[in-house]
Amino acid sequence: MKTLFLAYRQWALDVYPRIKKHPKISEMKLCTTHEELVAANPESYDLILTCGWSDELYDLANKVQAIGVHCAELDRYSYGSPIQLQILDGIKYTKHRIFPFKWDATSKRAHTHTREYSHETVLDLTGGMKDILHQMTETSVVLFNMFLDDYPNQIVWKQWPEEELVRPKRNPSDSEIKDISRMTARQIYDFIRCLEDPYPNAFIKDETGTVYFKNVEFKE
Amino acid sequence: MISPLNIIVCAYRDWGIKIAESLPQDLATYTILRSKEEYDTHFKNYNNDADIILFFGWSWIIPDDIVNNNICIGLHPSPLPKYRGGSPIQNQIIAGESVSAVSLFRLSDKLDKGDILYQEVFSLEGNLSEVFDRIVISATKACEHLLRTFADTKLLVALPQNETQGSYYKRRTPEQSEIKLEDFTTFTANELHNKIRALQDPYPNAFVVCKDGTKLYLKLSAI
Repeated sequence: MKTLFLAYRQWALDVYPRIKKHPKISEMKLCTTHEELVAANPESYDLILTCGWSDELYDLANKVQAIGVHCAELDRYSYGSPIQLQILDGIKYTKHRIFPFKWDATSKRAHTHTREYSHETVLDLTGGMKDILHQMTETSVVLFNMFLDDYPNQIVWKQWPEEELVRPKRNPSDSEIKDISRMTARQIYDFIRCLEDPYPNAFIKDETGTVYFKNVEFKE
Repeated sequence: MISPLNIIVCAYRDWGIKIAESLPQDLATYTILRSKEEYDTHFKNYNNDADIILFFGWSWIIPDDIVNNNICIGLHPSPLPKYRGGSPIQNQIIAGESVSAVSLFRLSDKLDKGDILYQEVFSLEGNLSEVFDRIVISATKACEHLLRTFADTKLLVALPQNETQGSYYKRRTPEQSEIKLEDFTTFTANELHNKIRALQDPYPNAFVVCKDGTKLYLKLSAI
């Protein structure tokens, strides 16, 4: 089976050399940019695996089967920044799932808009970003291998329940700590740790400059 | 052929031991005392036979008979006479200093007030571990200069400290690592960053007591 693997974040790139060893894969080409994807003649492949890939695949997703991994259990986190939003909401354990990439020009949601998934594992959100990203590498390897084991005839697609509100993606200006005196230690800790590198760090700014909080420790 | 110097080095902190281990081997034989226990044992039957005794960040009082009968040289990571006393690195960074110096000085009966033998500048920018790396480099350079001069001339030129410029600080306590909630509105971004980086491991980290009374430790920041 000829496959493309799309990834550009380091935790996702670390998945690639481990997945390409799967016995059903005869060829796996890595693309780290949209330009590389276009140049790869993607329609000639059997399957596209994406890992932490943010760009839309547009109509390509309707021509070639494409899957991705998404790290949220609830529908409200189906758009961007799912890890950050879940930590800020106090969620300690979530799900890491395989979902099918689809393209719908009329949809206001991201590529998980069908709410379909095939395989899932538990993801622990209680540590720092380094721990969480390491887990995402490990669980992605497991998920892709499970999917490939079942591919093509034994995949069972399920659906997670739909929710009314899907939270918007965060942007760097959302990383500002606005009023620290109103926050509990747990809230500040969660705010800072979910924005550790490589994400836009939590910050406080004044007219003299900006201080970024990169690491914090909290004991219950 | 000049006979090598006989030098005792008293150092127990990591950075002090690193300096001791980096001293020029061609100039002297070194006895490195890495703890108060080793120091006590060594000086129990000591007969004043060292050419020089070096103290790198040493925290204990040195008896008068050792100071008076030997060439005792202290190392203090501040541009003496400024920032004498305890926690010199932390106090300098928190005060907003960006450049410091390693000072080598003759020990006297007054804390960090002896005549200055040599000073080598270093930058206080960056994380605390980077600052300590620079202290080791500057201190090693300063010691090498001083020891080579002494080996060649048997002289140590020392200048008295300018008392009008002097400042003294007590050793910081863990409670002083607190950043109060109101400090987040009164401190500048630089002041906040300086307090956090000055108190990185292995020192008592900067902390905030949040509205629920829980302490949150701020371990790393950037500006």
